[in-house]
Amino acid sequence: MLLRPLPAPFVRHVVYPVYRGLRADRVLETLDRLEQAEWRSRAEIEEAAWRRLLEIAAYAAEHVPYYRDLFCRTGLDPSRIENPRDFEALPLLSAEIVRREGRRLVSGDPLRRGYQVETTGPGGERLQLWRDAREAPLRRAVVLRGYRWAGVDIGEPVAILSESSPGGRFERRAEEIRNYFKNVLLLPPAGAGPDAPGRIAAALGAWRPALLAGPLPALSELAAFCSREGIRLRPPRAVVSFGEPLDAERRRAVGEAFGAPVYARYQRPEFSAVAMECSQHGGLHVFADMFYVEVLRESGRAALPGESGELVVTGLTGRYMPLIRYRTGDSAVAGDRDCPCGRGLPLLERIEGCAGAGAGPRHAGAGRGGVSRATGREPAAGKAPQRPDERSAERLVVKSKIHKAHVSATDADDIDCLRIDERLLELGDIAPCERILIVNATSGVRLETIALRAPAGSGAVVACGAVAHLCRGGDEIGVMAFTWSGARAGRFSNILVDADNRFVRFLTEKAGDML
Amino acid sequence: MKRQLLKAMILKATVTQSDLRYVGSITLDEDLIEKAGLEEHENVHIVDRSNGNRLQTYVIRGERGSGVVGMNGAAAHLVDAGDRIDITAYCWSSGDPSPLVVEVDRHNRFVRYAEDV
Repeated sequence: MLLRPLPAPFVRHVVYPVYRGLRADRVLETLDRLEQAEWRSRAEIEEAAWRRLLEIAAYAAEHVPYYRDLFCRTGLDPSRIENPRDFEALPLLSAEIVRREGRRLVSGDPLRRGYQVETTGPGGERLQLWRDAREAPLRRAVVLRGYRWAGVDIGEPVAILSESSPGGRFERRAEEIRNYFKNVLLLPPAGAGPDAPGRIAAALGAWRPALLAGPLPALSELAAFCSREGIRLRPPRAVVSFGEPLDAERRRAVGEAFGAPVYARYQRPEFSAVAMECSQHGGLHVFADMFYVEVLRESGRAALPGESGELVVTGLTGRYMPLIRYRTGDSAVAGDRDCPCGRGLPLLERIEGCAGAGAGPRHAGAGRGGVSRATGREPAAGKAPQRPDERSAERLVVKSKIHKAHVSATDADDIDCLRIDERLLELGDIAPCERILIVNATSGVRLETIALRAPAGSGAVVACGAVAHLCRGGDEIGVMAFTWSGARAGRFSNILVDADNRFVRFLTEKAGDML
Repeated sequence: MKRQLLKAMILKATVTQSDLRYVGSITLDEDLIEKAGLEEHENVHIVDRSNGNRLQTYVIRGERGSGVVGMNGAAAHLVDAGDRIDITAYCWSSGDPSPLVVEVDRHNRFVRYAEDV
């Protein structure tokens, strides 16, 4: 039997409000709130997300055993996180850690309720998580918001190519009935069997969805089937694609087969929908009400706009099992644009897929070379001599600095170097064996040598070899490293440490600053 | 082959302040930074004509038009206020040398580019 949808206004104005009312979950009110909030300025939205982030970090440090230990072990204090750079110092969370720590990632707060779910991690392996019960309405509202961005309102018929259906036969039947009254039709993926594409096409022909959603491989397969068999379904208003990055070719193929614009949605089994395209189709808006998203280079530093890196997601609303800086294994291109649609939700330029092994960050677009803005200007007065050829000339710029380190020991027998707590090397973006400039604030001596590793967390800063003549125990020193601008990381990792050489915070240096 | 070539030199600038307590580096009037084709955070070598000390550090921006040339942090041990210094930057280039040599007055205001280097 082929199902036909209920009349959309009936579902929108009768069934849906009654259903939500019975569940008393305030999904519709939440949706209203989200839709008002998304038109605020990007600065306001980012500020609000940042506040939520600090709250969740402070909550986790207080109530979640894993995070209590982590903050303690790393010496980080959530109340002293002042900017995204400080936050970068917090170690990342991986699916392996989640598996290993299990319930130690669950809040001990007696006021929180959660439920256990089976999901999958970045490699597709099983992963058990606990979801916060209070977050459920928000998760539903975010999906509805995405549908409305695609021009499809609540109650209009939706068809979803689903990857999996819930467990037992009874549950499946119950789910089908619930969905039927919400005008949602769940279909098996097109690859489910030899006759699946045909059955799906027939079901879609009867259901006539306003919106078709599904994993990109299933959509592609169905699109190919329809093209091959010459089946023209009545075009939905929008197609929502998830599961794999939507490349231009498949966007075109799917769009043409179904006769509708394709919207990319980025979702993770661990989190649900995290970001989605608006009708501009120029990048994905991050659902900043629920997530703080970082794009990180391999070094762990934030990627610059236009640069690709691993997507790292922090859930801002689920407190039962807070996932802070969770590595998705997916890669994306960072953005820093305002979207012409007017929504202030921050943009990711695009999702690039699984962060494969080895491949370093690729740079999107050309022109991030050593040519500077300042040298592009003509001097205002005087006859300007010709400058060095800017295409081949690179400048030397500071890329790392450790402020106010103290020499913890000297070792004249060791090779000539400065041995530095590995953790400080990482935070300061200094590699072992990298050439460094040491400036001694106690004596005024300046010298060049190399940096080598000392044990992480030891607080060791040891002047070794001949350096021991010029830097004595207890001297206050600064450590700098420079790079040629063509290879410039684009960032100045400028860190302040305390008298025991423990990381305090990142600095932004301006003329006249004192410490 | 790329060589380290002289890229810019600011001649006989007068140090206006020298303070151990300040953070970092050398603060330069933004106007001078531009005239010399430098950038914030760029590596520079300082030679002190008054006492012979030599050091390297990096540039941070000071107020435009203020004439500020400030030595901050540990470098203040080596350079005093009132000293005359040359500020030198190198580049890594396979082209011909064509440095910008900037002459300034006692108040560190741009006067001209020196022509015969």
